[in-house]
Amino acid sequence: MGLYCAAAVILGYVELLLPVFAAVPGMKLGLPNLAVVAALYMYSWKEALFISVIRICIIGLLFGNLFSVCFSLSGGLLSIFFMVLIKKTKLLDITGVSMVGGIAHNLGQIIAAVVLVENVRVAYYFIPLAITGLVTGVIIGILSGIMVKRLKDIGGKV
Amino acid sequence: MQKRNTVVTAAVLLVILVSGFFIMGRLFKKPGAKAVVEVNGERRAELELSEDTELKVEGEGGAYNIVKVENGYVYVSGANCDDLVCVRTGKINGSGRVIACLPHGLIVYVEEKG
Repeated sequence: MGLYCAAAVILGYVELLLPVFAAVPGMKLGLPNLAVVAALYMYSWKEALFISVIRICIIGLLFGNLFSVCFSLSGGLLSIFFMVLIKKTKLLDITGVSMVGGIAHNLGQIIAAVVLVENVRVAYYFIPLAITGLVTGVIIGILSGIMVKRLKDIGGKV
Repeated sequence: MQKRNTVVTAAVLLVILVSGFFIMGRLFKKPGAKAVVEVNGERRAELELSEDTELKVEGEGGAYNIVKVENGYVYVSGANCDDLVCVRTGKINGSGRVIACLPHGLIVYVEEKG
């Protein structure tokens, strides 16, 4: 668990180092979510939730501010909620679950933005953000799938 | 089975979102008349897009954004927020378009006359 948190924090840092090719404001790869999705499949939703909250707080304290923590929390929590829901229905595989999580993450952030500026107009950004969320969610899902398979191969739990 | 479901869902969502994106692009293409500046839901200023102007919007704790109107477009030319998303958003003039600086709770949006 600690290992997963550490991995998520480092991935968050790596993400900051990558050049931002932001076609849409607020767009990010969501690399830390690799650890969250992997934990969801290796353990259960409780561990995934724990890792998500811890990594958001740590990354926020290290590289961001209270404001960015609020945004990430709102996105992260909604994302986990939807991922658990979809995983329970067993309709989609890990890539699909991660994809839904990606879109839900953006939805949570938009909701936070609407509340913050007290104006629904910022919801304008939802569609382009959701497209990026879908694409990055799929990428993260495929990577997590590979990771989970290897982790299970080497004897399951870390 | 799950894999097929995922591929189908991804394709359907992508089609919906991309078509939504293009529809929105069309909806927000019509040039508006004025730019409205709001901070935390409070209306601070209205700038006519027909006149070139510059406005420094100040917030709590020394926060500021410089909103400029130039050749019928509005943009944020400078700010002291962390991410500068507002500056990178660039110039807008379509009615309904928005520039947001979330760290400062600032938004600039274009409106029709009236």
